[in-house]
Amino acid sequence: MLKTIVIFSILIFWPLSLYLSNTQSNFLSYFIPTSLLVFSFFLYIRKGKYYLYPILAVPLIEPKLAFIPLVFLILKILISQKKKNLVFPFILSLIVFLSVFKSFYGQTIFVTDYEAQQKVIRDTHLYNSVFLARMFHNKAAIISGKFLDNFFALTDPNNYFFGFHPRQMVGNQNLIKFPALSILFFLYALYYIKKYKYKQILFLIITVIFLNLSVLSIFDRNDFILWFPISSFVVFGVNEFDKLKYHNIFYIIFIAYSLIEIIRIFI
Amino acid sequence: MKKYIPITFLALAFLVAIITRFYKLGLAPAGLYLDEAAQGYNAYSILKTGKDEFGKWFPIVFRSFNDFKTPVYIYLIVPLLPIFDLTKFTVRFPSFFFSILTIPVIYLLIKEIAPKKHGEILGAITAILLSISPWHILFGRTNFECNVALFFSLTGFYFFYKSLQKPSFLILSAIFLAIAIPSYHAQRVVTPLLSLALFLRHKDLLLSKSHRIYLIPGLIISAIILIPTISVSFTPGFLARAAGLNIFSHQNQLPAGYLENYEGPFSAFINNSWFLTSKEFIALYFSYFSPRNMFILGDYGPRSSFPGLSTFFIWQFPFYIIGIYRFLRSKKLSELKYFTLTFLLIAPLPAAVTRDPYSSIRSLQMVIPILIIMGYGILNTYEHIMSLINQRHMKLSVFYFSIGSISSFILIYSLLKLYSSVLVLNEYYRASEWNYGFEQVSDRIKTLDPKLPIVVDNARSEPYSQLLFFLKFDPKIYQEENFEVTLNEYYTNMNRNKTKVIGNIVTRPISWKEDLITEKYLIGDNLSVSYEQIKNNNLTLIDEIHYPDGSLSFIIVRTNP
Repeated sequence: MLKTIVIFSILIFWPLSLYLSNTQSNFLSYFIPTSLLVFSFFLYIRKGKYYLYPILAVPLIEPKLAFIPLVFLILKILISQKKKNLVFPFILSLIVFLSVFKSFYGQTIFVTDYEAQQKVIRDTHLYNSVFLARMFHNKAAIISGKFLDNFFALTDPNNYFFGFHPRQMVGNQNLIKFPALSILFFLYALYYIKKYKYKQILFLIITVIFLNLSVLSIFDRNDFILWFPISSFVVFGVNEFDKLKYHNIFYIIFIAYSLIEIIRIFI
Repeated sequence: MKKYIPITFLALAFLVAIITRFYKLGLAPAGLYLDEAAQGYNAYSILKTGKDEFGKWFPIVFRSFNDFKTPVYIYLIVPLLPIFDLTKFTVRFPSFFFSILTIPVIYLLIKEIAPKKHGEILGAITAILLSISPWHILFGRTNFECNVALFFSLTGFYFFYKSLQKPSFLILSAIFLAIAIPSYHAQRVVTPLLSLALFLRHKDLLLSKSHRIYLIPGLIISAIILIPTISVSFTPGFLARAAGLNIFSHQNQLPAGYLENYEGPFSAFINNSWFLTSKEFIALYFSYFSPRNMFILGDYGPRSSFPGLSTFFIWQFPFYIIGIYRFLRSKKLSELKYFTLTFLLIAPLPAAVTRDPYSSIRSLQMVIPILIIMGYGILNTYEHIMSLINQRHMKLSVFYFSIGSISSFILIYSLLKLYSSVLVLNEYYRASEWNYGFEQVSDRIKTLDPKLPIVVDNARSEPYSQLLFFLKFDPKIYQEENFEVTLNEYYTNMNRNKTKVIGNIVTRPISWKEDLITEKYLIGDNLSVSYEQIKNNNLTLIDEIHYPDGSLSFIIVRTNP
């Protein structure tokens, strides 16, 4: 019973905080791609033949996520032994990608950043050596810098469990995605990752999502697509944690603590 | 040949450490921050009079700006003054010196606790990583006590492990660990906790007859070293710093996440200070393990980071991930694993109870376990590639050449990146943060009419320590002309007197109404004295001092009543 409440509070947290801090239509634009991903995963574990097709529709709902089906299929082709079965979905994903490309590109880090370019020019004048200046200050460094900023923000556990830091949350920006104490389940799951049944597919999905979100100029809210892979991973951590002797004591603390956090979402 | 590789690496690490820390030591940062100046001048005062700036004879902690500075660093500067004089180089020299000494200490420590197979080479790799560590270099080039404290604690732990075979080393261990505690605030938590953890692990041996005869004298000696610190440890002065910074104190700041506008039925829960503070603590604690903070953002403080550089290089990230995974999984690392992981878990505690999200000063000790883990990651990667090559019967010479080329490239890239951030960008963008300009102001003061009084504006800063430092003002005269509290209340009375008299110089806010009546010099920043005020009040512009980026640092004017 306690375990069920723990899992329920982990699963409900992010959708609830997102729903309450957005209009219904905005919420749906984040929720539908996530639902498609969950549906795909559901078909995959049921060994469904067409599990790739729901993901193909993701860019049509949200063009910012246009990379996901394409890169997912490229990676899948690289590691899969039955490559032939993947050719048609790949062509479809390419068509979908090209159809939303213009809208996608306009919201990425590849768009010219005039201010950043001016700073590069200013900084290069500080060096005696042009070579040294160009080594650290160039147009490629602008893009790679933005990519790394996004990538490390997305891979930072503090982002999901604390909104980076309690003092960094302003208004309804930078939401907390999971109850703070569930970080322990997350770390526990990382330690026992080898035992996780779906680690390969989930790792693939997370990698693809990270890559897609990292090339966006602003990924806030669109990162909700990570809700399912991270939640399922944390839930795996709860299942492993459940094998510990005094797990119920921690569950009680967790529920009490998370209850306050959930109440705070409504305020 | 193979047996010389670790020692060659260590020599290389030592050489690189000297280059990265000694090059332009005292010149970059070009400014001198007020804490550096205060430490330097108090050391100068001790040398000349045996008393600090307030006339206190050999203080246990230095009152300074009511921040009660730790004593070890200041006393380390004292013997250097007759050799190098009172200069920026001198006040930064102890940081440099103990920073480079940490390189062989970390090598020896790892060699002592790691399995024989890995010990020497892992120690050497970690030493190289430490020699190019931006985190360690920052505090090795500037006047910060944390680096010195880290050296003493690591040396203490090294002797502790030596003592497991040769008990007499317990005495040395106790001495070094006891010195580490008053050396820096964070070490008051880290050193005792880690010592306790090591004691518990080895208690059977330490309490055996062979070790007891050294353990007891060691504890007595360390108690004697710590008596002065303990004797003032409950005075308001000693606790002042901790009280002002820690997240459990809500006198000046509400807990993080406090909802001020909410007065509903759940107020007792959602604004519960225990809940909010514990959550902030957990968030802060985990922020020290965040790859984003470690590899991208670094410390947001402008003096505790270099522009464009985090606490670690981005290329170290994969080795950190590999290292931590392998480290946690490995069952062969025994003592190295226990020491590193215990150290890693304890190290951020003092920083996590203070408000800043990622304070690299208070958590400097973390650099050691993290670099050990990265070193292990590098070693594992190397061994993994080596086994693949052996399986496929590939040419080893090509492999060695590739590894050598890649390593050299990474090393050169890291050194160039350091040069770019430390000597180019930091000097240009962060001169004001390092209080650039006081040296030039002091030089200019020496050329002004000595009969006229000088007012240096202190509305937004505490310029007196830098003026004392650069003017090398006689400490005896300064002590006689200034009073803040009686010496009996040195550690207890928190009142301050911000007006300081330095010969014909007074540091206080400029009062235009009164200051324009008599002829005098006024010195301040661009907010204190504007061009409009110069024009309206018929002031004579004597000089302007600019930051390297061309913006105005100080302005010197003379009144014309």
